[in-house]
Amino acid sequence: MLNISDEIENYPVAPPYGQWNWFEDADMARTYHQWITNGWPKDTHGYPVSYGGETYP
Amino acid sequence: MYIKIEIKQSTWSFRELIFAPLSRFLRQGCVTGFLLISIFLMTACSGTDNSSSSGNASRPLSADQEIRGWMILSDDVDGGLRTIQRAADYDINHLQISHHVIHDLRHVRDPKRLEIAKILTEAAKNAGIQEVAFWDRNLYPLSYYPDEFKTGPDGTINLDDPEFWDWLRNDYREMLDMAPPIEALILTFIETGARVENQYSETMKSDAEKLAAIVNAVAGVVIDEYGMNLYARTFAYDDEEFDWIVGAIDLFEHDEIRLMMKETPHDFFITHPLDVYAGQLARPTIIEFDTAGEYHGHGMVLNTFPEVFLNRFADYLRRDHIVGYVARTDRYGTTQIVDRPAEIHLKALSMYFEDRSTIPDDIYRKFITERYGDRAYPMLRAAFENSLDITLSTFYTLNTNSTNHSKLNHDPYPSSYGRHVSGEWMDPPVTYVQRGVNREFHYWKDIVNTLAPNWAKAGGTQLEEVPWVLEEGWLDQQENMNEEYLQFILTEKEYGVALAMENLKHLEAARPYLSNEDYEDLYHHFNHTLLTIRLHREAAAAYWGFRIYARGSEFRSDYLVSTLDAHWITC
Repeated sequence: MLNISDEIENYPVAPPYGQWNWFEDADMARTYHQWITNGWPKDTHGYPVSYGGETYP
Repeated sequence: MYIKIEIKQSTWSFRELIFAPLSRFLRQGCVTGFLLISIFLMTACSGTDNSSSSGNASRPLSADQEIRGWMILSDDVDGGLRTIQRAADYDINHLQISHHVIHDLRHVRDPKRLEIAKILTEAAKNAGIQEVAFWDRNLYPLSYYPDEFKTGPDGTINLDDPEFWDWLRNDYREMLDMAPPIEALILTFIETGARVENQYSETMKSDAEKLAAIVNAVAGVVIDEYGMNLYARTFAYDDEEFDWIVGAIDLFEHDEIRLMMKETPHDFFITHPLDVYAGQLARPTIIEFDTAGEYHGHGMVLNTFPEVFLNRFADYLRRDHIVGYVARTDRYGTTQIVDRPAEIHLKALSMYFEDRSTIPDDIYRKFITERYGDRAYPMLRAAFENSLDITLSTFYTLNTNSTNHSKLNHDPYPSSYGRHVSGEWMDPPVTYVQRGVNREFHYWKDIVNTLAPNWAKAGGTQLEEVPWVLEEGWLDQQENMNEEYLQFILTEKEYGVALAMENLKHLEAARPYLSNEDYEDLYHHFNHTLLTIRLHREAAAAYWGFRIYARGSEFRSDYLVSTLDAHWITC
């Protein structure tokens, strides 16, 4: 997942941008990586998350 | 009547010359001015050809004209001008300027927005587009209105105060006087801003009366004083809401008001059914299509599925009262679909409206051969036809949109598990997923109850919108993600990856027959598409796989760990 984020961030030709910015998807993937390796947030929108604080591996 | 009069080098509209100053004179009680204007009006009318000697055909579309419309949402001027330039190829006679330019008519008071609106409007007129429309959504937020009218309970507007309505009408006159000459207003009148139904009135006993009061006040200015068309943009989500809106429309005082309704209920998803209410209201109605893919790629990746739009439009045109279409041509920024593969969606609407015997094959063939040449057609046709499955594999998961307006976000974006679920509009809420999965699912009991995180099933406004789902017990608040569903998800994502890779082969086969520029454009477009589905596959494996892993050691099978490792550790 991080490799593909790298590929996106380093792709030589950017697509158009709109409400969706392609490069931000790579950021989102990195955010998931951080949450999964360091611990997923313990609540979301005010509700407890059943996998909050869990990590992998 | 909208008369154009040429004076020297400038083209003036009837509204600029007559209505606006006349309304100002009348408001100021200037009888002399009124008489002078009246004399000028009679003189002008007696000696002017309504069709305009300049050849500029700007005038409101008449009741007997079909409506072939496009919509520009972006404030990117270059992109907007290019879109307008291409409109002639599609015989577009109606252009809506919205969202990032004029989303509410009050945006004419923003100098930057107004300047862009003027540029686009002038370009549209020069391009021969007959009717230019600005968007509006009223009521505006409560803070917009002077405190002196907020004398209802809890600071609500007192709708029984005649001075409020005088103020509102005058506000419209001021805004229209600031705007460049336009021929129509698109008024969304439900679920907007302060919501008129939440305001105070003793005399208006129903919400329908309040909604109609707003429309009638605006129509009194827009239609009666400025000679423009008014389109009421409306939608209904259930029978009760539909009856409520029918009640309001029955109270419209102007027969000239037309309707505009979206191609699908609520929002623009490929997996949604059509709007059952469009065509049931006895007024001329145009259908709003999102050809630019707000929720599935913005045309930034390969979005080429003309059959979706053809089939939907064909259904609507079999109904009563449907008089045309308006197609969204961008999703902000530089996402204009003209000159890009997704332009084929515009071709679909245009060709089918022109000739009801049109089939998808006609559209693929005409668009690809005209744009890329005869010899590249077979290979690009094959690639374009793969787009629907790639799009559904990327931006949707098991027939449920799993992005935030195309952005990767399986969590914490809640709408994928509530507001955007297509099953909300289906009875029974059942879907058949192809793309290697080949299985039927219940939208709520199977898909949402398994894919949704526990927090998304715990409550909140989104679930309040589907009370029957909770009453039926289709959702619990447990973590239900499991290995079987992970395999379904990854099977679908892999299917999309394979097609996106196949498309690069189709492109290479077409390369000898393409210009270098077209090849380069398509090469990067196809690679953007492939990288996007690859990232979605990895993120899906990591996110939903992690959720299973977090359930405990009994869920940590060899398959799960090897899947997580493959997509997580080594990649």
